[in-house]
Amino acid sequence: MQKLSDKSIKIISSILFILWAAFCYYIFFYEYIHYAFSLLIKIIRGI
Amino acid sequence: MIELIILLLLIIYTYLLGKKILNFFKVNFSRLSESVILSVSMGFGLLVTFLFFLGIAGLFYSWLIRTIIVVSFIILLYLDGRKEFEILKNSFKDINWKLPFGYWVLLIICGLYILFNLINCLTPVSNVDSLFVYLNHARLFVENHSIYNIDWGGIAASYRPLNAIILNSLGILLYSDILSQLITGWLMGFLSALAVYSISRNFANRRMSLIAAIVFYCIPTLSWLIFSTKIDMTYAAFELCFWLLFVKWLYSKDKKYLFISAVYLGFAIGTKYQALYALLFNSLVVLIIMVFERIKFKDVIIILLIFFSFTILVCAPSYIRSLILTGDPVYPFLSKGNYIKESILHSNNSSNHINYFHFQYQLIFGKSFPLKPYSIGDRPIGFLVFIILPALFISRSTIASHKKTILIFIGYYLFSSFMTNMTSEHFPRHFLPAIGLISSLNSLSFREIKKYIPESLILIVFNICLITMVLFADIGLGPRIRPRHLLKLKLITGEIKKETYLEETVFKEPRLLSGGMIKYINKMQPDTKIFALQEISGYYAQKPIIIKRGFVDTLNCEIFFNKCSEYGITHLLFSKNPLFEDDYLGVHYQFIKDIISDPRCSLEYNYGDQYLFRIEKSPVTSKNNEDNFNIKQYMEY
Repeated sequence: MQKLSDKSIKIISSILFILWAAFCYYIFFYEYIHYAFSLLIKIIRGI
Repeated sequence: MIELIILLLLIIYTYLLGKKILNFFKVNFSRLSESVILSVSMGFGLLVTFLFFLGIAGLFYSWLIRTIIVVSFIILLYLDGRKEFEILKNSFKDINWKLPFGYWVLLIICGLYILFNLINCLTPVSNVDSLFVYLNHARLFVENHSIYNIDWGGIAASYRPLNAIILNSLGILLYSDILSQLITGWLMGFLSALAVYSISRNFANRRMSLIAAIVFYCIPTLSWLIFSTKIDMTYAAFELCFWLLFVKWLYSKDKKYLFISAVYLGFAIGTKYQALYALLFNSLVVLIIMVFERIKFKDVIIILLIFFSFTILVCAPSYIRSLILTGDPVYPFLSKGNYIKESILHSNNSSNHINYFHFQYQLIFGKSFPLKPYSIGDRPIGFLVFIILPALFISRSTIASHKKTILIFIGYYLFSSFMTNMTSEHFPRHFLPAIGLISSLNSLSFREIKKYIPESLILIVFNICLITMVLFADIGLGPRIRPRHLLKLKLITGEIKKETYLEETVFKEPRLLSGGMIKYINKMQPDTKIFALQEISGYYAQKPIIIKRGFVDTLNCEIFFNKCSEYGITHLLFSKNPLFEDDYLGVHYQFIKDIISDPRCSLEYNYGDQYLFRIEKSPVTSKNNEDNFNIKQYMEY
């Protein structure tokens, strides 16, 4: 039971950590991500 | 390549010199990194102080300084060389190279980035501030063989603390300005990261401390400071050495560390005014800690007095010089108010002073909340320093055992960033050591967060963030920067010459002298003295271009020409290009218009947007007046 709870804590905290990192990453690299997406859309439209 | 060899010899020399002094005070080094960072910094600090007095005495001669360094180097090698070599060899043998794969990836990324910075620093200095002030002043000192009063030879910064500028002079005196860049840029950047590692090692293990140092070294703010001869990296290295010994005092309570830390703080204050915040903050911290420990008040006062005396004694030379020359030891703050802040930010930016949290957000992400681009005249700190910091507060046990360290580091970050927000330009480089301290806390956070998140996952996230941070925010892979990297590569491989590289990069900048104008100026008479009417740097010209920030505030046209005659100025330099940006520096268009339209000025040469006027001894009306008229029309337009 203890092991199971430890595991679920690890999973939840890992997901939260990834979300937090992604959030910070998105704000910092906003222009780059925006540019990459617009480029991707252009390529898809081209195809 | 010769610069690299000299740099290596200089590191060994300063290491031996610094170690000799620290051994004299019986400082115990816990590990190799600590010994290297403290000894090299102490060596550089002593060398700078010695050079200051040589400079004041008018003895800034290459042959003299080279001889002194070579002779003392041989003596130091003879006395301690073999012993120190054995210590270094044994310490290297003891290093445990076993590390998990994720850490190796981090190390390789950081190692490649350090190598990239080293190659970058081997190319000519192109940072605008360095060419205007920090290298320009260093060159003027060397050319005049003394640390003289650059009143009509530089801009206001010539009265500031001089340690880093003297280090730049040392580079020029020993070999070249590229060596200056390697010392005050690359080496000081590396030493700062090493200091962060050593600070962190006092309360965390090797792996965690590596993370802290790598995170600090890869922040975008550092990326351009390393590739320059600015004073900020030297300031950060000295102040972080101070913090390293301060932390050692905090854990050991051995007063010896506190007193020696004061010497490093003195070096830092002698480099940049902002280190005075550390003196203020730490004096309060020492006072509070000792009062809490129920030490007698008389003893506390004596300890603080010794601490103050050491600091003031070490930093005093530059401040006494400014006091003698301007009547203001912290020029221009006491005599002219906060001139820099007022001229650059104006008074209407006061809203930023209130919104401290927004200021932090802007500096960390480089954006105005939430996603609006924010130009700060510096690069942001980046989120990596702060990403796992909240983990410090997950468990009480972490805080309990390192309560004082955490409180002091976070307190100093908040204090120094707050002071920066209130008193100077909103640039992270003004509180770089505080960012280093926060980075060092990452080791504690990492240790804590590992209990809840698999280590491999944290390392994957860190590696992804670090790679993109280094590639896009530090090195830059955008279409504007890529050609410059290519040019640097061509220069390093010998495909192009230095002149071509400068022509393609530096001379194209609007605030720097163009290649054609430099060629013309180099051919002019030896007694030529040129005064720039705006801030146009002519560092790469063979004749000094005199810049005096804010001269228009104090002079009228008649007095200006009298001053020119007094200082033997023969020519005036004017550029159309930076004219419309100059208002923020308080330059009045009308004044410049009056000067160049004056009959005493006649156009001698122009290249592109840049004009060179000769000052005639008696007023003349020549065909050049027509050109003057055109410029006047342009300015009116």
